[in-house]
Amino acid sequence: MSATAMRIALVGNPNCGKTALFNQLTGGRQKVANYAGVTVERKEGRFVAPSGRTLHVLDLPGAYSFEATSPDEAITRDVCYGRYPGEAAPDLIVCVADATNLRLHLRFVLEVRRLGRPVVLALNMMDAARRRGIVIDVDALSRRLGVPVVETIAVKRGGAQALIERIDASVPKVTPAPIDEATVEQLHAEVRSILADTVTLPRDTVALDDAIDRWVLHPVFGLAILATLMFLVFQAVFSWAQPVMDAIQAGIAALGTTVTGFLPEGSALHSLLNDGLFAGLGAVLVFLPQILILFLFILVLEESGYLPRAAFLLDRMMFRVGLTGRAFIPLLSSFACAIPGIMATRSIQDPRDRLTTILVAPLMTCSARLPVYTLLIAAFIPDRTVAGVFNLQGIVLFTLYFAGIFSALGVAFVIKRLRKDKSEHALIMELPSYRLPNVRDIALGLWERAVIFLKRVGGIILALTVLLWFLSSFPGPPEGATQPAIDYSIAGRLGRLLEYVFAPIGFNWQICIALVPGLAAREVAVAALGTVYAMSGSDDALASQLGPVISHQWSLATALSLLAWYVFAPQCMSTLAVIRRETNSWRNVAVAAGYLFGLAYLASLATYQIARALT
Amino acid sequence: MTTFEWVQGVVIGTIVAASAWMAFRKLLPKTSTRVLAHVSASLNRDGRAPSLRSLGRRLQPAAATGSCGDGCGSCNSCGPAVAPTEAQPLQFKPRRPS
Repeated sequence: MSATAMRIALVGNPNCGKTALFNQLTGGRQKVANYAGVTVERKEGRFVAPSGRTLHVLDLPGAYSFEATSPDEAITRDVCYGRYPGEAAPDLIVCVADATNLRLHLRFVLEVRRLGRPVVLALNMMDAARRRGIVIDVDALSRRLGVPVVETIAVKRGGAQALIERIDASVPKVTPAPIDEATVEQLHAEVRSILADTVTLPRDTVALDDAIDRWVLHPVFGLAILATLMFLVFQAVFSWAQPVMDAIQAGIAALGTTVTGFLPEGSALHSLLNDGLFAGLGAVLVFLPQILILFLFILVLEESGYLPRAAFLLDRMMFRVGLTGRAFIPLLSSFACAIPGIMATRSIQDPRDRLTTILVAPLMTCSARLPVYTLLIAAFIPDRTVAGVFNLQGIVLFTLYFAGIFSALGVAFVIKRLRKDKSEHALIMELPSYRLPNVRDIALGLWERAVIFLKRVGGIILALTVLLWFLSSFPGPPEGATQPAIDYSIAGRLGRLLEYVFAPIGFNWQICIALVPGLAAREVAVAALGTVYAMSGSDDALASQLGPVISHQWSLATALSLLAWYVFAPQCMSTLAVIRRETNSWRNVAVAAGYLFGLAYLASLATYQIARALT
Repeated sequence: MTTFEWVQGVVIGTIVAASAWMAFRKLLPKTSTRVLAHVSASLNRDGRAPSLRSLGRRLQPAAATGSCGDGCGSCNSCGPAVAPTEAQPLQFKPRRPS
């Protein structure tokens, strides 16, 4: 074993606080939340102990047992057994256990102990255990297990100090592994015996949790509460964001006027800054407040422990359409972004269930669709109150999100029928204790989302906007040209060609141009529309406000058709790349892209033709 | 051509070239890494001028990150680099008759 770079693995049952502890030790900012299955792959970090030693820390996916039943559990098993390719067995295993739920977590501790490697038990969430009146005789527990035991509170600053000191003092001796193989029943019996000797438990569950769950898990009231929560989220996205969006829009317009004021009107550089950067990037940047409000709700729900309850509520309905209740968390993650959602399917044991979830995950409305949706809704749906309380624009946004959900359920149902699946699936899922979200964690989470969005605007969106400006500007118009310059450019000609394909669904050539760079990332379509309309001779005063321009030039049928397109179309190459990686098959990528584009075209065609007939 | 037009051409050319390279790196990371490695190797060959060899070394791409573009709206990536075994491709086995 190296004296300078000890390798430590954090293992334990799901949702016991391994990643929070990992963040405490390494200063990392890996995602944490109050439900099982957040970490589905191995994460590595390092920290320098007070003695000056460098320690490598591995954060492993949660596992209930070394009898792995899902791909993420297999990673933990392989690393602990030293079978993971390119990875030596850890020098020390820190087994993390939820102090409020030792009855469940100690069984895995006993399994880890049998590996015969140095082990430290970190009793996490000790603050919650004390609040519930749980008394743990730590010394007695240490003696019974034969391993050092330390108390930790991973979500509080300095909460891992005892663990750091214990690791830094000396590596615990190798625990002698029992020779005989224990059965599951024997392990449970040993857990009961240890608990009887070392833990005083006032009651098995938290009274407050039980009281809340009586309502939240009720088959009727529970669903009503879930629907109301979702509805409120989308109302807030529209109602709360507007003042900040207006301020950002005004700021961008003022900055644009100041910066381009130094350049000669009509010069290419003036056009690049005005039509490309300020009209294009500005059109995307204004949606930052709405994205942050959406994530505020998602982060609060994740931290509170409500999400697994929602999975429990929806399990019956999801099973009927061919999805497992375990698909709920991956699908919910897909509301932020389909990529982590698809990766989170690793916690689904059945390969067919996993593939179905992967194929329908892109139908969940990711946050990149939000700029497109809100641009069109703000431009075409009147901002008026319905029933004296509800915002009509918020209702339309809510409907679009639900259109994605119902489409996913429909597609899953078709897949179920095609594969003639008659198998039964039982959902076994831990319901964590409710927790008040930590304000600092929520603020940090929002800050990270804002940074990611801004980096994206300054990265791929900026690059594609500049390229689109270039393709929309060159070649220049011939002598005596009467049309706007963009009509003679490469992008203009490409848009006219694509218009033949998309005319039946109501898309004009400007939309067709925007769809092409929008394949790289959905929000680029908004930036592209901003640039294309600014270069098509639209009034400069309107260039920084795309909404009024399109509301003058498009019909309602076209706007609704584009909304329908974005509910289904796989306008994100990264998602397709992740499907390829996770399924190891181009065929699955072709199936996903094919059915999503097909659905998008059909939905847009129906929407456009019906809306045109009615208006 | 006036001085302004000349400077304007250089500035726009640089911005467009940089944008094209950024888009290439973000959208086709593996291909761009291969291209960069090829260019780097051809510059950093015996017999080349020291300045070219130095440039070749600087262009040598870092180890592949496993990225696949710029990710979606919120996560900005498709996850950290993963070992091949960790990607856990789906494998189907014929169903046993019940």
